Amino acid sequence: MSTLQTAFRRRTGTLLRVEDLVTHFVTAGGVVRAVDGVTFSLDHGKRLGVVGESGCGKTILARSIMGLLPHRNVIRQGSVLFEGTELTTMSLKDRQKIWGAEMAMIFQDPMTSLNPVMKIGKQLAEPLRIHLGSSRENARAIVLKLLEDVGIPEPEKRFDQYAHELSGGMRQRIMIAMALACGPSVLFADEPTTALDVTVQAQILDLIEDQCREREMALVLVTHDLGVVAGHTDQIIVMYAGKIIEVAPTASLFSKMKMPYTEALFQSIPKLEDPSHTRLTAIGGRPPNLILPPEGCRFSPRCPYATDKCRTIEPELQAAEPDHLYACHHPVGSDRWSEVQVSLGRRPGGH
Amino acid sequence: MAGSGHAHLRDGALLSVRDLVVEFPVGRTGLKVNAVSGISFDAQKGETLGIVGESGCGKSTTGRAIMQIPRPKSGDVTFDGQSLTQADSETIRRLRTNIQMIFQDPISSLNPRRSVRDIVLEPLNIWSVGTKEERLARVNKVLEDVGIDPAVAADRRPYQFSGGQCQRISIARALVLQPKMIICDEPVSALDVSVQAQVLNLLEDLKRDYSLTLMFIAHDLAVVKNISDRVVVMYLGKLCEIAPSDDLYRAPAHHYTNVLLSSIPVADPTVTIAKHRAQGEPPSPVLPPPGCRFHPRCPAATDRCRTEEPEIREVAPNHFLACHHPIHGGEAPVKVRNT
Repeated sequence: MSTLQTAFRRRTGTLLRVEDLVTHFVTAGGVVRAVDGVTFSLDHGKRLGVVGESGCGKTILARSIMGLLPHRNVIRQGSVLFEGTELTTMSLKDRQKIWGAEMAMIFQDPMTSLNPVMKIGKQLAEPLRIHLGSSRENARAIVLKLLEDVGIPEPEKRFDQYAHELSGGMRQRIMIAMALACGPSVLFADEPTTALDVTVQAQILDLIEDQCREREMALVLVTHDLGVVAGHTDQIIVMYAGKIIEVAPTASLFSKMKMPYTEALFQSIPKLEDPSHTRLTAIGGRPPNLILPPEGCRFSPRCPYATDKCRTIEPELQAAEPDHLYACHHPVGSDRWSEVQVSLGRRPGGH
Repeated sequence: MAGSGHAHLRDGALLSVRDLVVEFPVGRTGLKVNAVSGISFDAQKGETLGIVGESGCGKSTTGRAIMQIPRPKSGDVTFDGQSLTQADSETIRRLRTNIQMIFQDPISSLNPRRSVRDIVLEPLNIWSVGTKEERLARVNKVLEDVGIDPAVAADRRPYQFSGGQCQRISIARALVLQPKMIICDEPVSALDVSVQAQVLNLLEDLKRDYSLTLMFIAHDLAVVKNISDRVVVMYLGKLCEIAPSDDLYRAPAHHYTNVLLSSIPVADPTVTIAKHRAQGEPPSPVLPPPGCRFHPRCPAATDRCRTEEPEIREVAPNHFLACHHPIHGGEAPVKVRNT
């Protein structure tokens, strides 16, 4: 994979192609269908959001693509093509060459993702020394520059500190610096701001956005927060119970959402512009058990528009527009949808 | 932010907190965490008071100090005309039947070895309310009110329920003694948005049906705005701003409130909010900055802010503020609709 190193990198076209990806876990209680046939592609330099509630498979999807899951008791199928190279059949040794150098990842909890007994500078220099073969002095210079890039004051001082000496936001900046160190072409960010306060979250999201633009790096932003993806992505995948149920460019997802689940998720968020005590539209029930997911459409037990068809026939992804796919028998705007809206006393058409 | 002063206190409040100070020692170092440094506020009967702020601002400590767990270092908490801070422990025990609390993590706040019926029944047993039949009837009623079917659920144990359902059970336990007030400490932060909406709606319904006064502590401003009549913004153990929630969100006067509001990601890609960002992160409450505690991060800080602590004053009807250089109407947070 070293041939993929920066000099040979194409900057346009498809970077990542995921096809029918399946990740099931064999547990004592049965097979958990965490990711159940996911297909999508990501172009160079594009920012993709993956949203869904806990347990929808979004984190497992990101980890499956990276190849970070253990081998034992995991059933995997499908293909992940990265710059045309199949990753699913690659040996661990070869994958390690890609991690950090080509695909990097940052996680939700910046404390447990950093090594508590290794100095910050050494941790940051490690990928440079391993992947790029940098000398110690060279690596130090690059690390100091990186720390500056991610907005860490006094990089010289931080270089010799340990993770526990830094705040949560600072640690997440270090994680980002580490992920950026070898100039990967895609960054996976798994709930990067969930553990942070809202003012720090805003700073970190700004930072990720700036770095993606500057480095022409693609981004896969995994989050439960529709607000976070709205402002920081080009395209959004909505997942439910291990499946993609809607994919669209960010603007059209919000303006022309087709899936009743996406609509319900959006309506259940309290909005600042609404007056206080505005009644929220909650989604009844809770996400399904992935050992025995419901037949037909997996959202049907919670969906106000569900019919017998939904409970028996699983909807396929279909195109509303070439780049806007959804999997629903009665999408937003359909006859059934309008009928139920009227019976619920809602004004059809308005969000 | 450093607000001291009592300009915002009202007469006849159900709960009144005056100059509350809570400190915790840092090991044997002689240092102390200044968790809450002299705050005052009140809640009228039937009101939902929101308390919002980032982690470490002292909002949970405030909620717990009202319940006297632990007893605050100084200050006075009066509930329904009775001082909690001066009461002996038996009186506090009795008064706590009128103020109940629900917590962030619904699963760990329920005893895993007991059935749902026992969990909700225990407060009634402790206070020997009515006959056994009456107690069981009340448990069933309360469980129904929070949306848990007692026939199916009462014999199960907490691990058999989801987070949202466990939070409903916690709410039932808090309600069963028919308190006057419930302090909700981050009750929906651990829940998914779809379930969060269910619990928020439930709290609104129960507040009406049980004539409750709520204190709602959370870090999520949108959630706090949705449920509150009046919002208190806290920063590093001090008050910044207190206002009716719609006013606070329409015209924030404190720079910290403004930063908080413009930091919230908006679920609408056609809207960009003017970027008001605070510099850095909240400092340690062990050595809080002098003057206004927000000054090291504040975009408008001057020398005065670095030395002199601002007093709370009224800037608009019912809108109170602790800042030397408030934002005047219309400055922010500016929303731009991209077309």
